[in-house]
Amino acid sequence: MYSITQRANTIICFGGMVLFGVLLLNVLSRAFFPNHVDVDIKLNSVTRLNKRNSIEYAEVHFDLQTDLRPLFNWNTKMLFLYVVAEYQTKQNVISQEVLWDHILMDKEKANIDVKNIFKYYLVDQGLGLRNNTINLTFNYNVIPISGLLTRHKDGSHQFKLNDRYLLDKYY
Amino acid sequence: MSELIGKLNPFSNIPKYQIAQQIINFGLIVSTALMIWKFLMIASGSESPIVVVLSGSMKPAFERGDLLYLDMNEGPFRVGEIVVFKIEGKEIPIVHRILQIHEKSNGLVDILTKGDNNPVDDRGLYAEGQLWLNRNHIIGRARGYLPYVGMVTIMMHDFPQLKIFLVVVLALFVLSTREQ
Amino acid sequence: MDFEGQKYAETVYQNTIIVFGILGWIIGFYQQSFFITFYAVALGTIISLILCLPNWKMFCSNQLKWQPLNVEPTTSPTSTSPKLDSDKKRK
Repeated sequence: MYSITQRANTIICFGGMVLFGVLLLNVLSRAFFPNHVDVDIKLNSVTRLNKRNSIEYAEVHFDLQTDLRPLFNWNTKMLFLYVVAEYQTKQNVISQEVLWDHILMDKEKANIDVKNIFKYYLVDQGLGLRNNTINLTFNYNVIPISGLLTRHKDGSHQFKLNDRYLLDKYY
Repeated sequence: MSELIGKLNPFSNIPKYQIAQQIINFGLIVSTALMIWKFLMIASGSESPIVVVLSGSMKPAFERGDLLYLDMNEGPFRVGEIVVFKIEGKEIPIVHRILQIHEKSNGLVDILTKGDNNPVDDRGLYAEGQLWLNRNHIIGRARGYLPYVGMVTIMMHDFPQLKIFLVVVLALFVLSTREQ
Repeated sequence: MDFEGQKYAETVYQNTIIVFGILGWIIGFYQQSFFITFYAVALGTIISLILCLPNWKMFCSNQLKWQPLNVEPTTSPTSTSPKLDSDKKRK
């Protein structure tokens, strides 16, 4: 504290420590906010089920209705939403594929009610899709301002794929 | 002549024991940093527990210069996790999200990744002919996040001369400061 | 800045930044925006820098009173000591 540089160093250092302290309190306060949401997800239609080079793929459309506004608090930077299809085949003990994902930044847009959405094809590693049971789940990943990155699973829907190939009328 | 050298040399009027003390202090700082790093390696199980995001491919979740804490425990990989992986023949590790996994009965797993900000999956980034990532490509899962702290690293990455300059200045500063 | 002033300056900057931090955290919590908290801490730091960095008069009110210099002729001649010093250096 005897010289200007010494004082500047101590004060800025202390400011940084206090900033880190309030940030830590911000991160810890996440535990007191609700993190439960109700999700309604269900299959709309499977418009295509076919194979190419002995790999089967399907075009799955689904409906999603959920209100994610409670998840937005002062520790939330964004939510990454994704819908996962999970199934088993003879080849694989477990297969998981993302069918749809979405980046949510605004609380105002967090009341979601969409019908007939499709983004990525469901592509197997072999011929394991026909007559298989697929489990759809809705998941979200919280990206905080800082702190732990957490993933949550809410809402699921099961359906069975057709045992014959379905061709899209445009295909 | 020796007087001139004595005047120019910043260490000449510092007693020898103090120079020794500064060198020990400097060594202590370096070894403490190394100890923390090694401890984190053991605690997280990852070979590189703290990484700085170097690209904007995970925008808007992670910007350039953000800091990630990785861990690598035995649990299975799941879709939606953000992982750091290294492709053979490429030096810089990549931070991306898992899009697909296919787990075999013998425990082997095929993984496909995608950056949130990229329009397509990462097959174009992998080595030639490589369709899937395996467990041995992956350095760790992103668990903790702290923004902007890695900005100095980004500056040093963009301007390599800055690194040498900084090290020299810091070393001189630490060695030549006298305790009052 | 004298010793008492240094002690005083230390309490001033610590209290300023901590008060700004606590207020910023509470307001940020109610507004659900961490930016408010961040700017409050930054503002507190800047105010502390203004308050404590320059050598204000309030930090210099307790100057040390040195003993008056006693100029007494001593037995050791002062003129020889620099010579001795330079001799030491040459070796």
